[in-house]
Amino acid sequence: MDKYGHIAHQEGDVCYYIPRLFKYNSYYSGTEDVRIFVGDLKYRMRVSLQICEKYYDRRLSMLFWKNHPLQQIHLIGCIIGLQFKWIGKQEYIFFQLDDCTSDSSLVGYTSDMRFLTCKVKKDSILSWGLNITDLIGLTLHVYGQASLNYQELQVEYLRLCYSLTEEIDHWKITMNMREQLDTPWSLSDFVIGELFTQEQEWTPETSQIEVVNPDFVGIGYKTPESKRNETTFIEQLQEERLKDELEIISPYNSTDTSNSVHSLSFRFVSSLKDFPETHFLNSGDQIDNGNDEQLKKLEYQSANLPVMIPNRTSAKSNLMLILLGLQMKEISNSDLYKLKEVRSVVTSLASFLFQQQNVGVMKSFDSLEKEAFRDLVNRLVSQGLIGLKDKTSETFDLLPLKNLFEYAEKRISVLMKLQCYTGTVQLSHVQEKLHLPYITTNGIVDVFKECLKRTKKQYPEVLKNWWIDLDPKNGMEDQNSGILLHLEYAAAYS
Amino acid sequence: MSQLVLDLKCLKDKIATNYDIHNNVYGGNGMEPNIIHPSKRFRIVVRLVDFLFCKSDEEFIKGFFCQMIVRNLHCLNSTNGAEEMRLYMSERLFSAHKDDLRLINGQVLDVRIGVWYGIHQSPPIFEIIDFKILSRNDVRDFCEFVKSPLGEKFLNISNS
Repeated sequence: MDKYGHIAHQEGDVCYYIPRLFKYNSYYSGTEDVRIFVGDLKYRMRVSLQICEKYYDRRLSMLFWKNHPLQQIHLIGCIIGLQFKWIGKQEYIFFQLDDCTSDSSLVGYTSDMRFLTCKVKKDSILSWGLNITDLIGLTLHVYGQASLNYQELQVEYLRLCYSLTEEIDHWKITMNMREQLDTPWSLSDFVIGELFTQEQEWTPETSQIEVVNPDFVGIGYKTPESKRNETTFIEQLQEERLKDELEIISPYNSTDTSNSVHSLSFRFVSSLKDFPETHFLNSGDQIDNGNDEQLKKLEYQSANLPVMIPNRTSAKSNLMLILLGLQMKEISNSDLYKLKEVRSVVTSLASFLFQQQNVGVMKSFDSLEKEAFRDLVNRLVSQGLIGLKDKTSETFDLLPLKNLFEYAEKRISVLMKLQCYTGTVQLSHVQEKLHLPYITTNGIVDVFKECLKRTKKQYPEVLKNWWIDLDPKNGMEDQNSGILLHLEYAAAYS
Repeated sequence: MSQLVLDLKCLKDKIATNYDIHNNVYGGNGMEPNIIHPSKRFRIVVRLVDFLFCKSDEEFIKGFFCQMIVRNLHCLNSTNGAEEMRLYMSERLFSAHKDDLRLINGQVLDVRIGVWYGIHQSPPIFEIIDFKILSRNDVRDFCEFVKSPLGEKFLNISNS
């Protein structure tokens, strides 16, 4: 028998549990009134002898119905005979009980084999209000426990059965109880789990269990110290593993000063830094690779420009196109901010800025969106592409942008019709002709770039490539500064 | 144990079968039987018909005081309702009940019977060990019970 398991023996699907668990059986604990027939009791007593011998190593003397341990049982029967007997200094009455049932597996010819022998103290009968001389023929309720060694019932209480109706009720209840007891007893997982996680020491319940060897209970069923400590140690290991997992999962824990968090943050920033460089290089289609001088200028500029230029530039270009698409001549700041197209441009730029932030100081996404929008608008204003009506209001004048774009379209169209390879745009000329005193060279360059992109897309069979030369006096604007357009035509066209 | 029997004819047939087996086995060999036959106990619920006092000249019933004639309950036996049986009774038992005013003809009784096999070639003797007078409620409950499926199961257990 496994001393540390809860099962003493298993016979097929039926588990015979250790006596420590008998209290969880409702028939054993006394919560159920266990009714039984004389025939069934005699049969179960013979079978229980074998169960206690084979499955419990004779350490137990208990009546079993399958694997149900039974203590006090209840019978109704007629006393058909009795005899008096002295045992030690106590006088006992042994009477034969008959309830019209028999152990059908046994055929005997003597009275003892056919009826149930019950043992009771003579004094007890008097205390229960019964007359000794009139016992024969009485129908009684008999309560007691089975004694396997003598195959008899140890009577604990007797009381009269007054009518056949009462006896019939007993028969009905007992018939139903037979079916219940034929279902084997199985402990629920909750009981088993609760039992083996108890911290307190287990004490043997000798008053409830009829144990042959008392020493066995004290020794065999006690949980050893080493086993209990081992369980605790495993739990500690699992707890530590869980803590490790939490540390790995949450790298942004502000209270954690381990290097892994900083390393992750650094890698995060580094990976983001690589992205705009790639984007910047990919957006070089406006440059003719054959011109080494222009390429050198580009390299010089990339060394000084901030990392965020490409995304800001693309966002500004998109915003210009959106404004060109509007039919109205002016628009308020709030209306411009609410436009769906503007929102998507601002959101994408804000996402980029959000990732650029340091881990230490974090701004909210909403504030970054407003900041990005304000920055884009201010750039257009500083270039003179959109104008402010007056200082106090938040309304933008879109006419400078629209007029300049229209002018650029006309100039490029004339150059293409004349098949000119170069064209010059002077700042002073544009300012005077279009009445745009605040326009800047950068603004003119941006508008012409967008116009050239559109033209190339519209007439791919005519315009093959283009690029813009800035005035050699880099950074200094005066009346003579301007830009030089270079157009390259398709072979078929030329 | 005693067997609960509803039909007196069934009871007679059981005893007759046992008697024939024992009689034929030992009679066929021509040997004088010298064994004790097992006794049988039964429990029956019957209606009291009458008492007959025994003649003292018959040897095999010496010691018995009277016979109780009983009949099947009609509610339990539609085919053998009129089956009757004679049960011997000792004077001690008769004296214990003779002053009971409820003991009148037609009363329903709960009777415990012992069947004794006498000497060779003698018929078995049915003796009343004890009996109780049943109330009307008891009779009604008993009839209902033995007709129900649970009652049939119990009768099978009792007679197995």
